Amino acid sequence: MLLSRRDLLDMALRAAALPGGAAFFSTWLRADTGHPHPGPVAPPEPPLLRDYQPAFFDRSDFDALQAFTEILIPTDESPGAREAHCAHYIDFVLQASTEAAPEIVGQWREAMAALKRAGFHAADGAGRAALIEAMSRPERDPGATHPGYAAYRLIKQHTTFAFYTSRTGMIETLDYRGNSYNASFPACDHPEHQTI
Amino acid sequence: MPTAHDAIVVGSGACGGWAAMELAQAGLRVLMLEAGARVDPATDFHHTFLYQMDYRGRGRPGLLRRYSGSERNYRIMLDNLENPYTTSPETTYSWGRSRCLGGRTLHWARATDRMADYEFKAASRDGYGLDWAVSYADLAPYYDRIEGFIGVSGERLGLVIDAPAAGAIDASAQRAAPLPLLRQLREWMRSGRYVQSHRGHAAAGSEDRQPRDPHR
Repeated sequence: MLLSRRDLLDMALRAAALPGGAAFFSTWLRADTGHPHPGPVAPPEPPLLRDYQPAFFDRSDFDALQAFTEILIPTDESPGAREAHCAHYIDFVLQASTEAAPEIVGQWREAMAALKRAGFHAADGAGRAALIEAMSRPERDPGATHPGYAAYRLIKQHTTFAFYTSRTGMIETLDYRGNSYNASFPACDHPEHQTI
Repeated sequence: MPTAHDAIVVGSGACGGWAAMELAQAGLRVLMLEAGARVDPATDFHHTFLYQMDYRGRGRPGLLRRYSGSERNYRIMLDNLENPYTTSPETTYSWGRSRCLGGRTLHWARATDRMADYEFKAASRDGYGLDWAVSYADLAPYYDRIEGFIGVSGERLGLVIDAPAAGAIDASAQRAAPLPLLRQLREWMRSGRYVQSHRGHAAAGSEDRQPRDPHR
């Protein structure tokens, strides 16, 4: 039932007549309208990915993918791709895509093959970081090319989505408050942004 | 015996709903036609974080190909295969259409920015397209009226709103109440008078609120 204003008024008046109601409403009426309201408590992460076993990638490709995601979003003072189960989520989506989205599946097979050709699977940690740096260079330098660039873009796109839609990324990292409103929306105060 | 109506409004969304209300309040007998089912936000919507859905709002792969909505609202969206539309060859415009009582008022982003005067004259500024046939000044009174009705609150926030005409937003017109309904209730209780009538609370579904299937 969607409460109307009249319903609320009626409820408020009835509540005010209850024991303690008058004191409550007296306090409420004096309340500052700008005080913060916390949003709903974020529920825990579902167990889906906690003990998930890869079903799309073989172990070699999955380990490579997981290492790749952890370089993109490392664990430092805040949780990273490992805690967000990014590689697990990517595998979960892909194992459900084999019939419905074969083109996506093909992109990922090619991406992992490109990663292997580039030597990512066999490299150590420093070598993998250097490889990703090289693969990502066309992003910063339009004149640069790299045979692994498409793979890099694909993994980056899916890793960021997996991270920021996880509880780890959304709640623990971004402090997203869910279905709540902001009491204020501070705008940019740069003078150069105050004109049309 | 057939019932005669003075006006028939097709669609119960933001435009159709408002038109029907205006006509009915003017004394006309109005028939409103709506193809979708009644959706009660209080019982049919529930709060869902993306991570609570296996596919994080995108639905199981393949599920949403026929709908322009998301995993949250596709149940009230039109099936694009059954209701096809065309676009210009150079565009990939995605037309989100729903069928439910209230239309898009049940699935919007809860932001009601006014367009600035310069946006109505965009073609004069950048040379693309055509200027609007109306200006901000023409629409400002209607902005005022609708914002008051649905309970829009907010601040100017340094936004560039070139509003020279009467009815434009100015500092004195800002409403900073984050929840107008409760603020008005509080003001009413302070004053002892009933301030407004016939003003419903916008039944707005946010991106966090997932309508259950109204066709179940």
